[in-house]
Amino acid sequence: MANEDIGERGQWLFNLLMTDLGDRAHPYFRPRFLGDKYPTFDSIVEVVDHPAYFFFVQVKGTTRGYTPNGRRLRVQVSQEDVDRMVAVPAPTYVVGVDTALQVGFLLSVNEPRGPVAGLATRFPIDRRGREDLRDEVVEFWSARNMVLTDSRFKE
Amino acid sequence: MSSANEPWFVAERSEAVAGLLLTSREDVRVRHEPAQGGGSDFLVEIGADGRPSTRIFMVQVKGTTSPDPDDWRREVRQLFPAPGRPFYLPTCVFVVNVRDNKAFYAWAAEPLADANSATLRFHETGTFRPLDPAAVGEIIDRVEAWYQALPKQLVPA
Repeated sequence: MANEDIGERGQWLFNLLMTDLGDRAHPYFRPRFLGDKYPTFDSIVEVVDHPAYFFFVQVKGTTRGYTPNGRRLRVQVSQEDVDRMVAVPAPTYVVGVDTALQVGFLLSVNEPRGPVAGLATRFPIDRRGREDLRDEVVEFWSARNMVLTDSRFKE
Repeated sequence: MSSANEPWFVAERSEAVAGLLLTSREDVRVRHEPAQGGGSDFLVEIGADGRPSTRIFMVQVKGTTSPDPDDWRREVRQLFPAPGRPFYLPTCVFVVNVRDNKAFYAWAAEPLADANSATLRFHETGTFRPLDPAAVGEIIDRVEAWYQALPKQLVPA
């Protein structure tokens, strides 16, 4: 399977994981694909009912499985992409998706660090992971006043 | 059913489930567009070498939040061929329950192939069957057999 096909399957799985309903009437998140030409990030994800609260995600799909100890999914993120993610003043994450087992894992990339050589499996995108992610993103934005006052283009 | 009045996630989740199921076969590529009235239309190319393929078929995807087929059967009827609205490609209808990701399929334009001919049988109502990777394999195998027989139909001996 070509890399772009694995990437598309990864994106679909990511959308399914993020919009999982469980026993709720609506998902917690609404992912929006940014397009193939957008650098570093694949999706912007809104918190449902809070459209001003959002985060960016790079999705890495793989069929290569895990490291021998099972603790890391075999995906990589370059230093250049890590630096771009850290520079964004919004929550940013890498999501590794195992397209064979159809599971995904979260990694925060908001503080300076080296390249990602394998993605830890500590934070699966399950019910608890979604709840923790929603709480983290809501706390991030609700603690900040993001209104641009006194714009020079103000009417 | 997913329609203009349905929540956004019905169409988006059904599209994702359909895309995952179709690409469970490594020899297919898909293109998809939003369909009028909700849902998505998938154009599925069969071909393992990554180049554009002329072996294509259509999948019309509809999402639902109901596990009861009686709730969605009547509403998907419009996706099946009606007089004056012929189909020119093998065409399936996929219905996806976006709560549990279970899916069903029915042929709208069913490919029939034998040693000397390739025809399409139009169904005005669908006979829905469970959809899983094995069923996707059967769908693709039937479309491939149809395309293998088609040249004999198009080129007189």
